Amino acid sequence: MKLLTERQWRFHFLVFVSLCLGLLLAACGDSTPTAATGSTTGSPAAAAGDSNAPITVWVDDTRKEAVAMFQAKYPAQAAKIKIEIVDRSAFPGKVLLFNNTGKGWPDVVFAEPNLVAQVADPAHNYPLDLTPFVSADIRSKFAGLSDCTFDGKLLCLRNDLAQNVLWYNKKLMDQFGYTVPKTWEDYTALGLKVAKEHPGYVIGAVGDSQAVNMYFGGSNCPLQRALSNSQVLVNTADPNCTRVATMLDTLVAAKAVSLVGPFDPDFAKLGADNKILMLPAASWYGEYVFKATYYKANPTDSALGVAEPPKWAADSKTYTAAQGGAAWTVYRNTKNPKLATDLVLFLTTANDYQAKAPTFPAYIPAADAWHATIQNDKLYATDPYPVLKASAAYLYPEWSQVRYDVTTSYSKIVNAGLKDGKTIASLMEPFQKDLVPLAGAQGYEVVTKAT
Amino acid sequence: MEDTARVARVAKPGEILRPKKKLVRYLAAYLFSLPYIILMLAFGVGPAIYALIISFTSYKDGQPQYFGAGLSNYSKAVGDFRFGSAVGNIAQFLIISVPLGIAGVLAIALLLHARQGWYTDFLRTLYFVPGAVAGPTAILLAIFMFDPRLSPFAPILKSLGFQTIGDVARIQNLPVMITLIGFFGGAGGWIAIFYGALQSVSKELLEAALIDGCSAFQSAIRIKLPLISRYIIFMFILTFAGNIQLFAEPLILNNMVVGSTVAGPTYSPNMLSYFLAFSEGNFGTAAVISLLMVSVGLLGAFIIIYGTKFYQTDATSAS
Repeated sequence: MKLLTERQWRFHFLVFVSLCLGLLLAACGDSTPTAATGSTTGSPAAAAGDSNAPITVWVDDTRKEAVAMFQAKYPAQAAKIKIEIVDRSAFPGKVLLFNNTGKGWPDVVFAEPNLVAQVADPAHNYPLDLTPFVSADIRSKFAGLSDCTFDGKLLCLRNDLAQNVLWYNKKLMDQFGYTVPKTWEDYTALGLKVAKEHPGYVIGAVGDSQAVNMYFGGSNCPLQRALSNSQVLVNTADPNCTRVATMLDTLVAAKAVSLVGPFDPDFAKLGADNKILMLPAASWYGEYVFKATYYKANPTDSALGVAEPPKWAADSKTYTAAQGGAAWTVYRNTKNPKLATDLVLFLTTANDYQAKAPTFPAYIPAADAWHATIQNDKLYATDPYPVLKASAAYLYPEWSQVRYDVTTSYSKIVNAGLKDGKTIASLMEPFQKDLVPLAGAQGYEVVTKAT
Repeated sequence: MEDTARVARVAKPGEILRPKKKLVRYLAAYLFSLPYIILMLAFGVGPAIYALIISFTSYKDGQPQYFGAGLSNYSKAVGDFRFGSAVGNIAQFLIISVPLGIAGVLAIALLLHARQGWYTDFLRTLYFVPGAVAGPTAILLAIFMFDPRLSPFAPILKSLGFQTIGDVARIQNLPVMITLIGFFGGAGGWIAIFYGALQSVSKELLEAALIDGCSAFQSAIRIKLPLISRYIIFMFILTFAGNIQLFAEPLILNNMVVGSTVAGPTYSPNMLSYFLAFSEGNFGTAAVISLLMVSVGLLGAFIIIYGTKFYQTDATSAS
């Protein structure tokens, strides 16, 4: 039998099709005003600004307090600021949606510079060039500001820095009679020595994606060197990359570094067992990883030392990358650029917030005030601030903020290959092959040689 | 023959009332299905039509240029350097998950049906319980089950050579891991469906078989299984169409180990579509991949309706 007769089918089918057509028309009807709004937002009228216009600020839960401080200090502006707690990893995607619908953009966003890089491309076209709003004097007092500079435009202001440094256990180093290495060559030699004299102790962790920032970023290896907003240099065969691969392979073979990541429970256990002799890692590890995890079970006073990141002997200067560190960015068509930029300047430069901020302030005068928060911490063997401050100056523009994700690619290719027993040197070519199309898909022309 | 029988039956009681009754009957049918139709149009058909429009759209400086792309998004989708591996991954997952899922559910349902009683009813409920844990939560729970340090199944994991979660969190283990998550999350519902289907197998038939010397195993394989084969096809098509949409599991499992990724952000076609849209801002190509997934689902639906006798028999028995 048939469910319905031919005529009944036709009737129901027509009803269905007309409903769909209605929906289609409704969708197209919506699109016309969308396109119109989209084009008007680009008009210069919006840039002129309205000092009474409200602004929306996207922050995470930790930085909500900072914006509230601004509101408390400037009560007249308080009501104009709307704070929204947002998962900032969704920020670039949401900007694309707002561009489609022609409305909804936040005015100020707290986000990492790599997210700012993503929203700075022509498709997102989100950030405001802050150059006219920030004096040259203030700009000169920021460290790590190159991460906010894209094609000569200042698209964000750094909030905090996560510059990599060399953490070490002062008591163990003294006990073993070792000196803290100043070069990566010394670091490697010491690793081999530790493996022989004190097996079981480690001088690093290479099992997660941060190894690429820590070691390859510490060697000026061209994995994400933006030559412009549309051209990037990627070459894993560069000597600056291969020397890192060789060093890590040597240390892995000697078992001087752990094959898991710093956040792996196995590595935390090494910390609890006091087996971490050295760990190259970000500036916030002292407070949030050593104190909070590794040394939590057996806190020892004056155990943790910090040194500047090692330098490659052949290089004229030290390079260091970062594991995190965020920034504030402003929407280019914000209705109230004055309030938005005032807020951003307050958040990044005023001691009200930064002097007690959870992590190292990027604005150095604020960092000097922040010094007091760690100065007398019993965790450290010596005051860590001078080293942290000096290391912030080693952040370098060639380790650029780009739109593709080097860490995920590293994890997928190199971390996974390492688990399969391959050498890092042998994984450099697959790594290159993974990175090049990724960069291409984000609109970069990839070159392998600087011209 | 069936058609004439139906016409005759409708005509007999409704000789006078027929025109009015027909309208009322249609109206009632539409009213009953209206909530579903509205939601389906809003969240199913509507987005699909939107995706169709977007698939021909190009973007200039973030602004959509409708129908400005022609077919270029289609060639870009198929030519994308991640498309092949995403399709390969999903094929690998389907080959493992669909047959294993069906065989597992069938085996449990047949075993339950072979020996009925309070204990079976209890087990049937028990199988259903994991399904009550909503999708992403179940995946998070599963991460604990897969961690040799925390899992109650640690001895099994360790005997298979997995010492740490890092050993488990490998791309090659993903299809099996996701199959296990899907099986324990969804098996209860399918067991209930198969059990219901088995209940409709005629008791006389089973008794006759018993008298003829048929063993429990033979009765399960030779009698029950063929009689519920339509349901197996039904499950096959729905599981296939559902599993090909794989998204949440690999996305969440990617973060099993802090600081590492298991499979990257473009493991399955749906993940690739999401990544293209929201990381690369390529809505057009993302829409093409979504449409591809829709067409696979539609194909499944057509096979159900026309290739099997699923709805026909139900309609007959209902009228």
